[in-house]
Amino acid sequence: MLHQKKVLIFLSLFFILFFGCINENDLTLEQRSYQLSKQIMCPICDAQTLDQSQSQLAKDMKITILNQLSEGKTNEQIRDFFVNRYGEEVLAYPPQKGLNIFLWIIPTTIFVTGVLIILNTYKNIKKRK
Amino acid sequence: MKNRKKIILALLPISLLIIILLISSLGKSDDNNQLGVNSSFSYAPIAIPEDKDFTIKTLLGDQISKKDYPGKIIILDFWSSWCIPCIQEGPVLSNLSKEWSDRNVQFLGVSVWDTKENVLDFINKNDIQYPNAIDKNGQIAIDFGVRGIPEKIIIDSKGKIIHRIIGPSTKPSLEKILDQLTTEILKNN
Amino acid sequence: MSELGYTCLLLGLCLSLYGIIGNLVGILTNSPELIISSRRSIYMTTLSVSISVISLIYLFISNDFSVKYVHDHSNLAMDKSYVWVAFYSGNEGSLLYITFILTFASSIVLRFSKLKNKDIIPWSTTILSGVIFFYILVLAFFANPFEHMNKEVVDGIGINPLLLHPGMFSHPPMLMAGLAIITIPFAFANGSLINGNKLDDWVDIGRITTLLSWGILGIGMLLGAWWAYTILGWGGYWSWDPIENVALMPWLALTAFIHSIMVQKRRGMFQIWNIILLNIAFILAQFGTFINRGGPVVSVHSFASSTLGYIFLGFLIFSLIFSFTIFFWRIPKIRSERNMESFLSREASFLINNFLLLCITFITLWGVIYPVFSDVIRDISVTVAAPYFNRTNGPLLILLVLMMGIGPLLNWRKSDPKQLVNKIFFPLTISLLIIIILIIFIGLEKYLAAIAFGSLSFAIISIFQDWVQNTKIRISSGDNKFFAWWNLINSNRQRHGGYIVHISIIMIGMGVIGTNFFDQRTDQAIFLEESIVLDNYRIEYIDLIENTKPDRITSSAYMNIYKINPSEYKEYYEEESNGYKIPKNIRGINDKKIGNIILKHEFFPNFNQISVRSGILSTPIEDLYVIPRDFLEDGRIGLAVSINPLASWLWISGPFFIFGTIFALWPTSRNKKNNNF
Repeated sequence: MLHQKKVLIFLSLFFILFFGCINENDLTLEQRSYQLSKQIMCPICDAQTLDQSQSQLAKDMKITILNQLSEGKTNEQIRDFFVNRYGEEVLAYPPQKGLNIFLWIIPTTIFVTGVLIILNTYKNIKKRK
Repeated sequence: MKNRKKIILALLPISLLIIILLISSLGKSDDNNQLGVNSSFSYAPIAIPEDKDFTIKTLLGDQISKKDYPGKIIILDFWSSWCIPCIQEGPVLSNLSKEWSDRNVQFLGVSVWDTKENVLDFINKNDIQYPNAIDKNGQIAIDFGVRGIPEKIIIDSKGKIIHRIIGPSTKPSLEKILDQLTTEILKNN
Repeated sequence: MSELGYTCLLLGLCLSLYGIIGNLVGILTNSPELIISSRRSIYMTTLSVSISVISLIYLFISNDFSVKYVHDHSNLAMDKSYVWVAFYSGNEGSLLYITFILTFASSIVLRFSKLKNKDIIPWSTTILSGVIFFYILVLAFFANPFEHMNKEVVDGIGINPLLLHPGMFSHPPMLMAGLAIITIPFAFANGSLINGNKLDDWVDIGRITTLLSWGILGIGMLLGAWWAYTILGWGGYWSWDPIENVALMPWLALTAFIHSIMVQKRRGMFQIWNIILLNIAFILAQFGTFINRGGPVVSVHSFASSTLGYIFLGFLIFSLIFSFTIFFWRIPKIRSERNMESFLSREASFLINNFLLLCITFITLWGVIYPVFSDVIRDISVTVAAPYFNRTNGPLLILLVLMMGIGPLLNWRKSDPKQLVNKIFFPLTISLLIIIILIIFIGLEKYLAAIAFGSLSFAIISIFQDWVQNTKIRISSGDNKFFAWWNLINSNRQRHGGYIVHISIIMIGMGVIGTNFFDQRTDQAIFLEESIVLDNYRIEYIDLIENTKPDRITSSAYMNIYKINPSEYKEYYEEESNGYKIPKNIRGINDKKIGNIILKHEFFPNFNQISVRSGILSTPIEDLYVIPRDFLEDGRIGLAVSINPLASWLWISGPFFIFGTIFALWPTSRNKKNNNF
């Protein structure tokens, strides 16, 4: 049973760590701008992030990101800068407020429901014994 | 009936999804603005704060901003010498700027993704007299949330951004807007 | 020729309608002759659809631009080898292709199935004919590939230049074929459900056809990723784009099915569940068709959007209602499920595996739909792209990999906990050690990568442990080492084929983790003879050749790649940057040339489209990936250089995936059937 416990501890640790966020401001400017360019969409291309897009506007938006980073702005401020100009759809995932919470609630619900069903099966097996 | 409950539970989210899909595909329009060039005239929502200022370095080397044009209606035009709708628009804007210059209307041009040669060439060819600037890396355009060219930001006499127009505008369409704005100024005075 | 093609479509329409009615009447009046004749109508439908296909190909080859589809998708200049691509590059042609694959596969399955005389066949054939009828109906009246132009033309518009790539020869047809073939197991599952009493007759045929569809779909997606990575030149391979997701979702549901069908085969459980899974997969496949043909979702893979969207939405709703009705109509009659005996059993591990796979499927579905939802409810457009899917599906995928490792350790029915601890000890300690060592080496901030690698190693060690232990038993009975292993995996092809596929998935996992967590990247613009240094690579820009052809302007930039010692270039190092520029003629003493790459930038004036060919220097450890961003007027070239660790494992997995799938599909010869334990 020892190993099962190990797995449990390992899993719970993993989940705690996973949702705790890494401090993204610790990286070099270039790393941060690369990260940001993966989080911001090119407003004129269909479903492409700045990182993927070849368009002129996307290139220039990457310059904006670098400029603002070297001015000392935080990632959050830069994301807000673009949201204020291009709307929420410029973010690769919406900000976690308002209705958008459902974007995160539903996956959790799906997961929890599944776990409950499996636990139920487990209990049924126990009961039969 | 435990079963019936389950059925309803399963059907509920599915039917909700279907309804949403239906509604959204009914309201779907086919618009594509490839390569950042807007080919048809329309008003676009303004996402930027309405009292937003700008600082632009013109081709002549002056720094201009909103406070240089107190009480004037400003038409800030984002364009490029290689963009076909902008080329068609060139003479229209040149004429309009001359006709309306004595009626508190100031045109300003910002040429995006362009070279100095081409811009000067374009200005000379169309006899454009209002100030123009080159925004080589698109930073001014991005600051105004511009997606494609041509795009115009119209600022009223109180310095408030009131319209964002994308696509090439014709002389009558711009005249209508300017008429409206200048009569408002007269009324207020 | 176009008249022949269209007539054959109409003929196919009538034949498939006869297939539906004939079967239904045959079942009602209990006349086997009618049932046989309507089964044969599927063969004839296949024939007539084939003639349509041939006539469309003929129209393409003979450059008959009076036909709109040919005019829109080819021109005189197009090389005739591209007819294959042009054929499915539009809505009409691709639907014809799907219909052809579906009818052809159905005929083969019906012809060679051993179930011919069972009573599920008429029902299954009815469902198949129904789906075929729907597709031909769409082709005949809404997306007719044989429609004529209303004016005279000399030349066609031509094929979209982005499609002129070798990847396009195999990736889209594979995906479409995979999605089309899902219909067959779906038809058999629901056929047996309608028929009612025996829910085990269809298991073999269902498993084989599902594996076929699943394998083709999987290879199709892998080819798409490979094509995007090596040719499209945006530096990635999978972006969680809606169109990619709608192909992934049915595949995931099918993956769940091919696991849980094993439980039904071995233990007679999950009978109903397996049918649900196929229903989900089929409906998701229809959802995919709907999104592809003008659904409300934004995607990079722009298929001409059209009113076809409504028709496919209608069909999606119809198939939902159909499968729900059948299901709830029949479910009260079937209640003889055998129960699970222990939670420490292979079947329980498959249950968890199914749960995780479906979780990923539905979370992905929600991510695809949410923007539409947000648009309708609050009139604000939002985007849901890669970061969301990585965050929600990432941990589930890691759990899935862990299950991949636990599965082989468990027995059917129940496992002895002591024995399990014994078996799990070695893989678990080794993988925990790997996690600790990795964290020491790469630092705590990439703990996620370490955990992911640990899970992968856990999975692969447990597979190898299983093989080694069982091979040893065979060796002790006197076999040669390799043959002992070969005989072992041949003794249960389904299981060991599955393990081989697992190994390929683990390879993909390695690639995904390597490229997502350890990639380095820099964007620089350099003049001729200057270099960029990234980590221990130096890329020197040596030549530029420009070439103008009637349809395109090509710029080819030649680069030499050197392996260097970064400390020799310390003086050029820039703060805040991964990569840095090196001026002309500066070389380190230890520079070693390891290869050269050619970067291409092609502009197609007729389409106003740019296509970029990036350069890749690939090794099993890492890929050096160079994308030409732009050719500046001052003569500089803007490059995006990245190092993608372990990327090549994504593609090495391909052959393993194919081999494993075919291996699992390969029929067991009769004399061995009895000892397949």
